Amino acid sequence: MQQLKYITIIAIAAIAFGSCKKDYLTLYPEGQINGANFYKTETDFQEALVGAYVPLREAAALTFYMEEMRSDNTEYDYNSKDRGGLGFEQLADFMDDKSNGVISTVWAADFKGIQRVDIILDRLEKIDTSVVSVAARNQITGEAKALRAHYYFELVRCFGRIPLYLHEVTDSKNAFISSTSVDSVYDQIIADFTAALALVPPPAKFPQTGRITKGMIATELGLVYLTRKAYDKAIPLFQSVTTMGYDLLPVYADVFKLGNKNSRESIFEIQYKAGTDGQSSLFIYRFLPYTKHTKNILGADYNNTLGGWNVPTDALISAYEPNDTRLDASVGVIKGKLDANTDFQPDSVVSILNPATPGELSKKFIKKQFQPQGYSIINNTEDNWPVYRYADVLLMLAECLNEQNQPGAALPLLNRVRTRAGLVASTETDQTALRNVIAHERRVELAFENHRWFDLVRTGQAIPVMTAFGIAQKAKYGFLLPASYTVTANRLIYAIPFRESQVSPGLGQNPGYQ
Amino acid sequence: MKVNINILLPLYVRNVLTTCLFLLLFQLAGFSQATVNITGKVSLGADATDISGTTVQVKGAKKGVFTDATGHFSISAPAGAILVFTHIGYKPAEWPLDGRTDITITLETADNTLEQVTVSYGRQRKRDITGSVARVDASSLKEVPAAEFGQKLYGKVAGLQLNQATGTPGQGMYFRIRGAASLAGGNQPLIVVDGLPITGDAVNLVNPEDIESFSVLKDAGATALYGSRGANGVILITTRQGKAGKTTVTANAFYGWQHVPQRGRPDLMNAREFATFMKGYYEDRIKYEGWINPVTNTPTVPADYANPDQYGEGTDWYDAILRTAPIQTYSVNLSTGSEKILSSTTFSYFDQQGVLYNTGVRRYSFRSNNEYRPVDRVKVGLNVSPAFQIDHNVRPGALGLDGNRQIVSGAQISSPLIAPYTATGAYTLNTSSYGMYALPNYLMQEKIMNVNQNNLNLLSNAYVDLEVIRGLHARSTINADIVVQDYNAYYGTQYGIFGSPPPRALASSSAVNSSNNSTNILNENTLNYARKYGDHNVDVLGGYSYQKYSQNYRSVNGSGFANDAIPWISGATTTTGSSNKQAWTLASAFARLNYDYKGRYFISGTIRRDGSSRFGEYKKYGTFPSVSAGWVVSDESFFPTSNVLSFLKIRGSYGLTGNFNVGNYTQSSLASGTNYVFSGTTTLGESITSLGNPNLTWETSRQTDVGVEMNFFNNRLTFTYDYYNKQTENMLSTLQVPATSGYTTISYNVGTFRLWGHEFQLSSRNFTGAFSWRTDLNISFSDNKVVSLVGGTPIGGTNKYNDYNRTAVDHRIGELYGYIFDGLYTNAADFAKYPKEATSAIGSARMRDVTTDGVINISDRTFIGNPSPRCIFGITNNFSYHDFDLNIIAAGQTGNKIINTNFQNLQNLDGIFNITRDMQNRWRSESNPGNGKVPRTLTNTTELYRTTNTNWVFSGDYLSVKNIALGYTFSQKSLRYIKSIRVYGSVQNAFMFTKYPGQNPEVNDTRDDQKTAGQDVGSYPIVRTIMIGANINF
Repeated sequence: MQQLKYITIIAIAAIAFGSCKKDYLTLYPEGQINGANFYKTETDFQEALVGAYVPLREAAALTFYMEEMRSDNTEYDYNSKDRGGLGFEQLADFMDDKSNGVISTVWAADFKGIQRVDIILDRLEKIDTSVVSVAARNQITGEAKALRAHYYFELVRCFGRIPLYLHEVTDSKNAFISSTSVDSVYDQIIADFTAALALVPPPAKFPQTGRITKGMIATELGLVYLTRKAYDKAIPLFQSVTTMGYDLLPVYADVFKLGNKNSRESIFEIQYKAGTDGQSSLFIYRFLPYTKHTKNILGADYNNTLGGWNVPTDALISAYEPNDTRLDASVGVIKGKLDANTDFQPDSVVSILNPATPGELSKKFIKKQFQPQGYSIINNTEDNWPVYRYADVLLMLAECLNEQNQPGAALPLLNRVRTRAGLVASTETDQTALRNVIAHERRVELAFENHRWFDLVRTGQAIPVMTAFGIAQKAKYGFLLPASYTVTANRLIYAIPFRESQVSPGLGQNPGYQ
Repeated sequence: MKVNINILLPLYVRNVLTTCLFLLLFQLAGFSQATVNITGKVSLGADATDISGTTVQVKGAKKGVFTDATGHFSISAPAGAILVFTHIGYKPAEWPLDGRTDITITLETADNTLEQVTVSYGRQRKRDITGSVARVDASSLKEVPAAEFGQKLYGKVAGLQLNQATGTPGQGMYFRIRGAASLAGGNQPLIVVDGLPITGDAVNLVNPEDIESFSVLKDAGATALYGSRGANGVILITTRQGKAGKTTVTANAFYGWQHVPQRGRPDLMNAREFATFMKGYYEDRIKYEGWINPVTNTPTVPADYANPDQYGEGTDWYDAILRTAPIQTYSVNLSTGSEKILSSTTFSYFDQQGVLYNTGVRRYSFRSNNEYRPVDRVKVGLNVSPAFQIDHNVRPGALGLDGNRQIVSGAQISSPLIAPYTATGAYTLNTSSYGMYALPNYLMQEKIMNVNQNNLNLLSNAYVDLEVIRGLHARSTINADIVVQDYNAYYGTQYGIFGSPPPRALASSSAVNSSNNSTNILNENTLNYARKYGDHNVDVLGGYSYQKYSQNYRSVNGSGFANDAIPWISGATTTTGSSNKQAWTLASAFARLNYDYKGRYFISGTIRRDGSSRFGEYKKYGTFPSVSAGWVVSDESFFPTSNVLSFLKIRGSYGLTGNFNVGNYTQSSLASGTNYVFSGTTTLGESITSLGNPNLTWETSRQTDVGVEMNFFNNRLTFTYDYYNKQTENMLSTLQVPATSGYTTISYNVGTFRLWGHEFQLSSRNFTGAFSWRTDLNISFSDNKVVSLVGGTPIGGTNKYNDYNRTAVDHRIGELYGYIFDGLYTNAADFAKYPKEATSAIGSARMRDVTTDGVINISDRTFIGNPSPRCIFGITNNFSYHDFDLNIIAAGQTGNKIINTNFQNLQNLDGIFNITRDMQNRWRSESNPGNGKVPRTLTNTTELYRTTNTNWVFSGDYLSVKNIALGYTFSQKSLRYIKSIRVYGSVQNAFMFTKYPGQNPEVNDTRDDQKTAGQDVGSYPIVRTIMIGANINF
């Protein structure tokens, strides 16, 4: 009996300890949303759409190395003490290879954006209209498809043949897709933009929200056609943009002021906001000289080891016509001296129209993202990144019309841009000459806005222009190796990142980068 | 025959009668005679470190006494009595008094196979164990100073690879039992303290002074009862328990001085050499690149380097950051035991200051182990062990001690031209000479460092053990490990890092406070029935358990401090914070059957079924069985009786074990906040940011083990051999997926690999008697191979920088990966002849064209070394002569390669760091090509030489004399209030024999991650410690 009693006690104790909830072994993170339970309501989809915009920033943090510093507009401030930026410099010098870190980051960012769109589109299909209304569905689908097309357009221009991911990746089985032809990628981009064009409205008011609008879609689709030399298809798109309420701001320099974010001139900007909630940009820190003290430039003091990249070339500065107000609005000068460690010690920011006297040390920088009113938190700025502006649309439309042999129709568009810059109107009516005038106008009007390199490539000018530029650079800088600026057709696109071709051999490798 | 019996029978009967009569008389005498006091001493041979605890009984009596710490006893007995002496591990002895009152006796060691060994969920005689289990008695390790218990196990167990990855006090040790069995960062054995498997940081907080013994479980037969956690082996730790009949007070103390040995310090240029190098560097830039000195605007060498002869030795920065530092511990143990209560209580204080200034660990720990036996058949246990540890500057911070370009490696590249202090005694703020990369004064940064972590660990357990019927024990335990950690760091205006020396603006000052509480609770319920049926012995165990681990975490960051005087976030202008929680659960049922026939044939089967929250919804449960068998051949009648081979056992096991170190929640796709800005305001976004894998499951190891145990020469020589072969399937890792998918990795069961090896363990009592000498030797050989990976996709080795290993099919796990350095393009002819990289020039580094495609690029990297040792060994020698004892422990390994990633700095030819002395012999021109091994300094050609290549790879072979201890035990006659005292002096890390030029051939800075094994990224140096200590019994 005694034993029985003990056994009973033990058994009860054991059951008491042992009994547990049925879901004892099913734990979900309490600090994160589980992917399986998300995408249920309209709010969920709207939040997912917001998330699909974010990779724009991850790419924009680096694309100026690939899309502007690759061209003759910008170079780098050579720093012999820190060779950690070699990967950036190699992009400028045409010495980059498949192991370059910038290209792999941009590649991953754009594809991340694409995947976020694919998830939204696939999951939205399964949701009833009683949950997500037709209006919301159109807006979400339209913006999402436009984003996907935008990401693919950047990828195809940078890398050529790429894989098309059009559905959600759910496991390893559909994570590996082989590259497809450039034409197929463009077909997809055109299909997505075309679909989006019908679903998204023009800007309702100015300043705009920063979301994708019909204006952005028409502009970028127009540029797609322009790149493909389908001028007839581009013209009506650009013309439609001129009817959506956009306009040039009267003063060029005002376009880049913080008060004019998403203004009438803005077609699309990548959005940022200063502050501690992770929405800030830091472009100006990259474009300033490498210096230990930014106080005399920014007001906030910072040891700016990030600096010295994507700085204006002399070639670009001399390309501005006399009295072009855009020079002073685009390029700034920092005067200073060498400190005891021969590091640049800035004294003051001055206008490029007030050049340094002989013997005075100065460095040039991009002024468009510079806000002289000062900075409170280091590495934390308010500036948006301009993707398309109305001036760009006018110049692209002018280019198309000229290519369609209508220089007369092109001129007024070109001259709207010129006259705002304080220049005399052009009267050039010869198609070839006007082509060069428009190209030149694009170079200075859109300097530092990541258009120059793509313009050179799509107009077939990249090889001659950059080869000549390279000869001049090598004469100027002893640190450039003989092999630099070997600009061949292979160099018009970048390598498929090494990791990617290792992990997924179906991605192949671009010629010249094997 | 018959005749013989007839003759013998009367003799036998007579003997019996005589004995009975004698006993009767004895009994009568007992009543009639007055008892006398007998005193005496029991020796246990020179090997014994604890000579107390021998039971002394009058034959036939129920109760007895125990010998004290010096082996002495005192007992009342009738004058003609026989005393019986028993002690576990020794042969019992009987001693007729014959009128003597002072007895000295030495017990003979018993067959070592009778030793009791802690195994999973119980204890077994060593002889009866069918798995591969090694026991280490902690009492023999008293003179090994240890912040972490692992330091005590060096060289003790075959197949236990024990490395001190870094010298950071309290942070250094990592373990591998039978090699690295996993890729996913889980290669540490399961550490079980008194039944509780402990996790994470709690391992570092176990007080070495509390430990009584270790059991290292190696094969599946021994570990399968731990199921999904057994694949990496198990270390069972038993803490000190009270012993019945003994009341002792013991104190242990040591004090030591630690310093960094000269061997292995970096061979860097001194001031004169560096200035000479830099002078040449600028001469070459002027010559080849048309360099203009920006100060003078002329092509002239910078003034700092123009006249190198003006400099002498300059500053040795590596030496500057080091000091001699004390280490000390004091511990007191009170232990008592009666029939009703067994109790052991230890208080310890441990203090280790680091050899890097301003670093150290202090620990206060307490343990009380109590077992109550209120009535027969019931045992109630209550063990509690709080420990409080203060980590001062040894936990990672924004500027770390360890790691590339952190304090230890950063100091090495600082300019020898610059002194640490200015003429006024203030710190020099930066240590770069002309043209160098911006470097802070690492000595100053070390001295002003302010990163503190307080750790409170409460390890406790309670149990009830009830003997329901004879042989049937029901046992229920609750174990809890509660860890509270509080981390505080401040980085003020004088804070500087690589690239950014101080001062910096107050706005940049920052502070971090983070804390976490974790609870690890285990409830286990078992039934155990052991019974003997004639020659059949059966022992059955069944049970189930629940374990839940949960951790709450929070952190607050502040920046913008008005004043360095306030290092707390209350002084910050901007504050951000976050908190989170994670948890895992495990529910298990398990059973074991041990059966033997005549103690000669053994068979054992175990099974465990685990369900875990960490695995995918389709694969939540796993079953892990094992079988093992043993045969004591020497007990067979056909086995020749001989003193040469006195014991022979053959055993074998096969079983499945798992590894669940996969991280929490990886089975689900997770979304995180991805906010963006619309209309100038932050707009909430949410995106899937990690791809889950609902099919994720256990990593399963199938392990076969065959072993043989032999004793020779009356057990003076014992020998164990094991062969094992283990195949790990469904290896957990992250599958690399192309970034085109929107992700880069998925947690995945990626493949299969195989490990195998041979282990030998030999123990010999070379001499016994007044001079005794015992040798313990173990050696193991192992190797591994990756059998398959999903899609054949290799892991690692894809990035240009900081990616030094690759795991690929048909190779070993985590092989080093990089270029093969073939010399230079010494002249134009070489340059024309050999394949080139885009940046190659005459005089630049020439890497091998592995792909033979005529160009050098990232595809030409290849496998350049195996980071896993092929052979590890240890040898311990104990000598004693009268009152002296000497103990020497040596350990080593061979066959592994180490990659010293600091060479990306120490061989940097851009004139921005101080570098190794051999860089002086570089290529200057075709007519002055140097030693043909060091390239030129031409701008933009130097990167290839400072990417991963064979110049950084070295053999990791070493033999290290880990510990030499010489002790003297004072004889009792000279002591009055103390029962015994032993004093000793020891040297830890006395000698190191290795070709590895770095400081520590055991380095492995990524610790537990075999995918990135074998890296030396510049870690905290390993110290040599000279110490004195005492063990006192009151």
